[in-house]
Amino acid sequence: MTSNQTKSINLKVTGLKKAYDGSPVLNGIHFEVDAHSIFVIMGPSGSGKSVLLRHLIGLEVPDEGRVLLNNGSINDPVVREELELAIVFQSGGLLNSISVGENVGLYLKEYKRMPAHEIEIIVDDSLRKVGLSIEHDKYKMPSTLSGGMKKRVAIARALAINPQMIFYDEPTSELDPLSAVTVGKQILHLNQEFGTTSIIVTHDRDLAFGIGHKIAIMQEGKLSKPETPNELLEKADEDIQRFLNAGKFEDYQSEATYPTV
Amino acid sequence: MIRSIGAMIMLGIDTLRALPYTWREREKVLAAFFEIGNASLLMSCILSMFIGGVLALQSGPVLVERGLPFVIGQLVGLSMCKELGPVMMAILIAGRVGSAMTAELGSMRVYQEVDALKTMKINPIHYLVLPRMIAITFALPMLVIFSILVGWLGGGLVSMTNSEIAISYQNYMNNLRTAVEWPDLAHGISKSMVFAIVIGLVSCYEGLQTSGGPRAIGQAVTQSVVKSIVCILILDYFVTRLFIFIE
Repeated sequence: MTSNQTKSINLKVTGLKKAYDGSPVLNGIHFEVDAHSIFVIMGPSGSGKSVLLRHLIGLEVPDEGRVLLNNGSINDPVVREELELAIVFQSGGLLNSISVGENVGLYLKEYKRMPAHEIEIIVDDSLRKVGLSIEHDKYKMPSTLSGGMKKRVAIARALAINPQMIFYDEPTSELDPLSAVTVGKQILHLNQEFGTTSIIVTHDRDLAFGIGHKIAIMQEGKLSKPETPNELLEKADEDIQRFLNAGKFEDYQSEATYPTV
Repeated sequence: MIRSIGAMIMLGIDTLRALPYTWREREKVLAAFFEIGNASLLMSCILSMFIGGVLALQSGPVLVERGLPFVIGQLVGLSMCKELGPVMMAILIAGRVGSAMTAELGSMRVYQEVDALKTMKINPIHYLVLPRMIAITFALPMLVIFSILVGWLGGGLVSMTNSEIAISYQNYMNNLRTAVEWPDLAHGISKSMVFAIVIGLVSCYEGLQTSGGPRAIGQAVTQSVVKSIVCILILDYFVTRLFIFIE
């Protein structure tokens, strides 16, 4: 893991456009993410955040524009082969037919072809880092885990890859507030300890302002200028302020309506 | 339709390209192979026994009445070998194994497991498709051999026990042996290999194309079974024509 402190990579997105069946979802996205930083993309449900994330990790090919990781295109197989990227999917994306331990060691076994005893060491280490028990959790099947546990296993699996950049898709969705804080702290800890560049897609305001170094807001397929949490709170326009401030106790009692951003 | 066929052919080519990785994926191949066998052996045994029996039951009395009892063994032997064994087993496997493959891959796709593999630079063709394709390509012919033997047995039992036919098992088998030759068996096995490849390709393709939610998985499974059976029946005609031409 430590070796990646110097290998952490930056990301640059230029003019990213994508439409499905003629409906634009990404409408010319530009932004940059510095190495070692935590970059948060916020926005309401259906604003295109997850689609953007799929483009960032190379699961989708854009209609226009480029995603550059250390100046190499993510859609270039040679570049992709050289980079160690990991993603924590919203649902965890764990393979349900194999155990937690096998999930965590999957990349090492199937791609790296490491010997079993070395894989065991890394798997145990990764599980410990996310607070999971080797004795109790390693041999469980993913279908028996709670939502929070699945996310932690997914993070452990990402750690086992020893990634230069980790992408998180809604890491705190479907979690109770305590589990959400635990997952958020783990993301922060991983960034601080190993310097891994992290990109988080979320609509969790507390997570974004709690751990993000820079935050950008996605609305109608466009991304606002990335700002620090303080800058965003001070300068954001009315629509964004409304999005950021909605959801307080009194909002549920008020007559006002909250159109999506 | 044309796009789907093209995509399936591409999937077939990609799987062929992945063949050098077979040894590396041997554990998964074996697991898939035994899963197919376990899932289908009992069913194929029952099905084949009754198909052979029905063949004898339908044709036996008529043939005996016309003084041709020796034809029963030949008829059951060749029918099971060249046509009913391969086709019925292929339809059974399309429904029993193909549907399970589509459901499994479809669910992996919907729940982002396939995406997770891609992000870990694990090729889904190597990890998911290749083991299943190899397993089904070898498992179906073996099931067909088993089915042919059980079908012959079923025909023999009916010929022996039915009072309107009443020929000895020994006679039935002797007659069967005079008609069925190794090339006939090879005909059935070759056919079943073609069917297995088609079932595997259709099932894997439909599974990997699934998008949406759980409902889409159900639709993919239906599509997979229907397309597989249609392909089996159409291909059966052309493969039979090809063998007739070769013979």
